[in-house]
Amino acid sequence: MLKSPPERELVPAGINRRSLFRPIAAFAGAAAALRAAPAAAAPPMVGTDVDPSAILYQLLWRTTYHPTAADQAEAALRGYSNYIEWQMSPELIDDSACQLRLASFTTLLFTPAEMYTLQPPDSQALPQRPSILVALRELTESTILRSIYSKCQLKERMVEFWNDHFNIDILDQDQVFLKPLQDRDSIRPLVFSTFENLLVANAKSPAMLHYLDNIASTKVSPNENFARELLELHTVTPESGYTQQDVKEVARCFTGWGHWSEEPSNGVNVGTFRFNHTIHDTGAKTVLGTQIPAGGGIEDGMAVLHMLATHPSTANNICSKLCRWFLGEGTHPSVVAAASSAYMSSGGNIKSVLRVILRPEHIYDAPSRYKRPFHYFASAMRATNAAITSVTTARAYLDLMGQPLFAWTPPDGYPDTLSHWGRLLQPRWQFAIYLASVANNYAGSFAGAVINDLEFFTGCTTAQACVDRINTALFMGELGVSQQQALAGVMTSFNRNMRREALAMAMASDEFQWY
Amino acid sequence: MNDATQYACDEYRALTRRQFVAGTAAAAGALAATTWLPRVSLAKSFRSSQRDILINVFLRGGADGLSVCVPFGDPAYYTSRPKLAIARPDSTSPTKCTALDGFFGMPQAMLPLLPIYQAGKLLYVHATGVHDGSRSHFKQQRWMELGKMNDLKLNTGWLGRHIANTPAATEGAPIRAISIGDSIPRSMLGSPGSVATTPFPENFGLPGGDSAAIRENALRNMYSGSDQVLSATAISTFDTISLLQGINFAGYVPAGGAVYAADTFAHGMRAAAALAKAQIGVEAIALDLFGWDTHFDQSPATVNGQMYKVMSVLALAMAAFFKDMTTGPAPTFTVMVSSEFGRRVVENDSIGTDHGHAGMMMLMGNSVLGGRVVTTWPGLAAPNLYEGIDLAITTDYRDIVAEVLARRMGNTNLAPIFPDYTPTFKGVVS
Repeated sequence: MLKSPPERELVPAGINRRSLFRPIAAFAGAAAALRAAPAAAAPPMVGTDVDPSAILYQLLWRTTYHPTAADQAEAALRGYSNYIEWQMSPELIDDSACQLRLASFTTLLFTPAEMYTLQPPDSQALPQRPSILVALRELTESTILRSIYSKCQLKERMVEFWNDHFNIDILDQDQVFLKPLQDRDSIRPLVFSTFENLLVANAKSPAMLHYLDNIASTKVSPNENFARELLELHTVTPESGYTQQDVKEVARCFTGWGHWSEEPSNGVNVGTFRFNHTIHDTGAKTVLGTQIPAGGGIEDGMAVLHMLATHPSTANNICSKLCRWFLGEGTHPSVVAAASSAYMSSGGNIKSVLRVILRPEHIYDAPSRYKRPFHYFASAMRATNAAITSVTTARAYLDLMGQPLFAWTPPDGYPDTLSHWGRLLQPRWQFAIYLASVANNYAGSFAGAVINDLEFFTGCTTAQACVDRINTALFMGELGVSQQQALAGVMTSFNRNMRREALAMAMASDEFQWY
Repeated sequence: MNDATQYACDEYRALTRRQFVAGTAAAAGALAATTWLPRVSLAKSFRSSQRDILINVFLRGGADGLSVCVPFGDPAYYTSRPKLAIARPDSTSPTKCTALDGFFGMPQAMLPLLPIYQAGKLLYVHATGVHDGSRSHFKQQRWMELGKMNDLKLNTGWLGRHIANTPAATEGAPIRAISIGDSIPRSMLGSPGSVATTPFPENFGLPGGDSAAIRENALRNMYSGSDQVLSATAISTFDTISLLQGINFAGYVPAGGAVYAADTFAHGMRAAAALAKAQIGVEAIALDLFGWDTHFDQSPATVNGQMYKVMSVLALAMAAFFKDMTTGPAPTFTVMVSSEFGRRVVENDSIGTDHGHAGMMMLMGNSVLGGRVVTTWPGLAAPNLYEGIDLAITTDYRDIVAEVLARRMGNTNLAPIFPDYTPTFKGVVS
């Protein structure tokens, strides 16, 4: 049962937060000035003048896929900083209800060796075993379910972030059954750890070593793909000034990094990381000006990873991306610098970085962000408390919207910009109409999920009450007056179908595309 | 994986994400199709134009030019690829290629295009590409599509700049460029007005019912004050819906008995033909075909081999499109096919190829001066290779694109299209 949120006055009445904060806010001060009370020209509220309790819900927009009443209650109970700390320790949160939904996804618990028992889709082998495509399906569908139903919303947001940063195309050869292992072992447990831990875990991930061809890299013919993307994308970026020679040298360092193949003698090791010293180049190397002496084994690659993880250019890269992820494309350089400073002084501790990025004054100044398709999809489900009936069907809409999960081919990960995603609205409108069951003359939902609209609109006996209810659940009460009127205008008569129509249009609205 | 599963790795390796989810998405799409599309006949033609419609096909992943257009006349091809090389036309091998001329051959997977080549309407450009040595997929795609290298701030593509600098072929056309996919390719960025993107043009609408008008009204209202990009997209969406509404995609009957296969790329080409014939003012249509990044077990010559299959998809769809668009009245067109790089001359230990440098391009259309392979062949012997390992570029890809734009697309000023480059035409189109 939806409860109305606690009484609040986040933004002075009449000002629509969304309409104010379209990217790109050139100066934080200017944006803050717009937020001043309408009657007086109050000074801009920058720096530490922001009252965290007044912008608790703004924080929630950034740290969840949609702030439900339950999220709001938790945040109000704990307060701003403690809420963040609570979310950054997901291992302490009881998420068993969500876990129950994943109980039938057996491949989520497979060891690498068990993954290798899965068969190709057209296999005639006997006895018949599940197909490798099951692993793909279960990873994708569990990710969808977690984004909607997990209490660890900040963790899920970070999982999405790191899966883009350490992108792997799941449809590229063995990644179909190796990518789920990377997600489970190299991403999820480490999202709030240190960047170096994430970097090492992903450099040792068989999925990554396959995807970037390092398994084919030997001392006789080193393959540069992994080395190149490690430098270019995962860590320091070209702005650091590394050379083609550095790429070659890094490639030499990582010769031998691969995984155990499936000869019978390898037994339970199959699919796990293997350092193969017989193909490792043990010569001396020079990387970014640092000498790596001859005679080294796995230490060569580990030294490179440490060097890169602790490099200021890496701090700048990671913090820039995290700032954009949480605060938007026009984040002021001083914020990135503050986050980078926290990175460097904490040994790349992600929690330390997030504590800086999520500071009240940064959240306060952050313009609205356009939702990527996965975010939009999850937010619609959460805002309406929709019940998934078929994750497979629901997943088809992600494809139509342009983000089919884990299927971005190049290693730079799904883009995180308005200019990339802001061109394809029609599938979102279509999804909204289907989800609200107002397609096909109200014959039912085809979205793979159902909204209990009777529950959603409980107690709403007028059209305006319906608009208010939608405003509360989808927009935290911030929907602008003209938008409310547009929704009211949709209900040409007051009946069940018309209420669902208004809900569809609200989900399709401009406002709901932003967070 | 054991042998059986290695083979199967090829199976799903060739899956593009679009093909993979086509089943579920098509199911969703089928539900949408029942409701709203009024089944009207093709739209009346606008004021006609003498310009071609450009079908810009990008092969994503780095297509191996040495397999698409086989240099059987170069002995180093066979010494470099003992396992991967495709046999000469005069050999007894069952997988031999067919001579295009005395030096280059067509692999069997692409034979559907042979009649078009022999009729002089298909042309290859070989040893072509973008002069970037990174061998990085996304970097080279980026520079190639932007039309200018190493400019990280440039956010318009060569096609977008062309459209921006050229008057509309159809006056007042709201949609001049369409990407049949889920995002605008970089090459199209910078097009003025509306650029539509849709993976399923036949499904591009709002589920209707009695509320269609109310919905459109509400959405137009709600998006009118939105962010610039989004309100433009909203307007373009309605324009596109209106335009596409007049096209009976589902009922479209290709001319000449042309048959499009069931894969997503063929589906897109079929939609492109319907869009072209509907003459709604679209001047350029972009499509992607994934699956060319053949590092392992490339297998270009044997039926059901990884590269064989993707070449077959390309050739069959192009052949169907050609027949469809040249039997009976239809607008003139140029299909241009390119890829971000070709692949390594020597095969690797996995009987595949690594990222390379120069590759090939293809042009197909009414005005293509085809039946030839246009190239200054640098040769595959080591001293003639780029960095000693890759086919060298002897034709900058921009020479080809520029000529198509100038001679077939009504462009009169190439300067803004390719900043800091002056193209040299090679005589590929009339």
